[in-house]
Amino acid sequence: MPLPLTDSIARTCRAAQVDGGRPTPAAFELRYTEAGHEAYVSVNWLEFLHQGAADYQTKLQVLREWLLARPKGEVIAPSRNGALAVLPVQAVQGMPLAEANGSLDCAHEPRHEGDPHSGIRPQPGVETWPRQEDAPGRLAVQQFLFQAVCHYEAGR
Amino acid sequence: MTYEAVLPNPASRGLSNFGQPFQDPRAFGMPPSGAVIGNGLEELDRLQAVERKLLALDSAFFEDYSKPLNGSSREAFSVFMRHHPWASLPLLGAESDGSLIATWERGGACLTIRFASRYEIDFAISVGTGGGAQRHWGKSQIAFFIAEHTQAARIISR
Repeated sequence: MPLPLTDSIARTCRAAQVDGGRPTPAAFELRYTEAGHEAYVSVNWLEFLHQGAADYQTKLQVLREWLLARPKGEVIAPSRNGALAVLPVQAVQGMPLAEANGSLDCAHEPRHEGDPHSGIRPQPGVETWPRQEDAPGRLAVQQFLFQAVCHYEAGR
Repeated sequence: MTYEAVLPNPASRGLSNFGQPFQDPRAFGMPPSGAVIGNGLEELDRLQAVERKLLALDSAFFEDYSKPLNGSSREAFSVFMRHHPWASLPLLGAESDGSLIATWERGGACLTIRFASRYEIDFAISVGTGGGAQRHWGKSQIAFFIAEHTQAARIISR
């Protein structure tokens, strides 16, 4: 399900993807494996867990508590040296990526009921992307997303 | 598509997609690569700050993935910073395979470099913000990249 343009998403950034508390483009890696590109960049839909008006700090606190309550291994747990990075859906979907094989869509990708898990998915899909040769194109997408971050704070 | 491969003909290396021919860094107020700004102590401080950044990333990456950073990528970043003494300290992160990603921002422009191997890089440059940003990306080599991309030289200069 596509996310509303008025909503926002949060990426859980690992310690090595953060510098001085700030998320870097490394946090938005669309990993390339032997099986091919990952289909999307995993994020969480903030307004799925907290509906109604609130600032990002409040919404992230709700997400943080939800993530920390998950069974080990189900999610990337937010860490003290990592970060939570917030991106507005509209900013992500508004990125002009015509030269990078299309655009980006944000969609809800729940793994079970009550799951805010979502994805930033390239359109057309990664199955159409060139393989390793397009590493610079993927880096440009990561830079797009890094620049779309509107708020961030420590993971815990 | 603005994808730019490294072309074998040296004459072709002087142009980026910004259409800007190679310029000596001194043409826009920076010393040539290899020169030292200020005294030796200042440069020593900068190199020590680079090393501290690398050590912090070593630790963070091991915490995340229980393995070391890609040694070639780490060395390539270190060489890049040593050979461009007028370069400011970037934001530094690592991808899951241990490749280093460095990012510089300056006046609405942004340069991101992936140190793909000991000699090769992937890069992405944006100038401006939002939908009006001009974007450009490609592959290059550490030894030639700054000389070929005057926009990148401006973004990383301190």
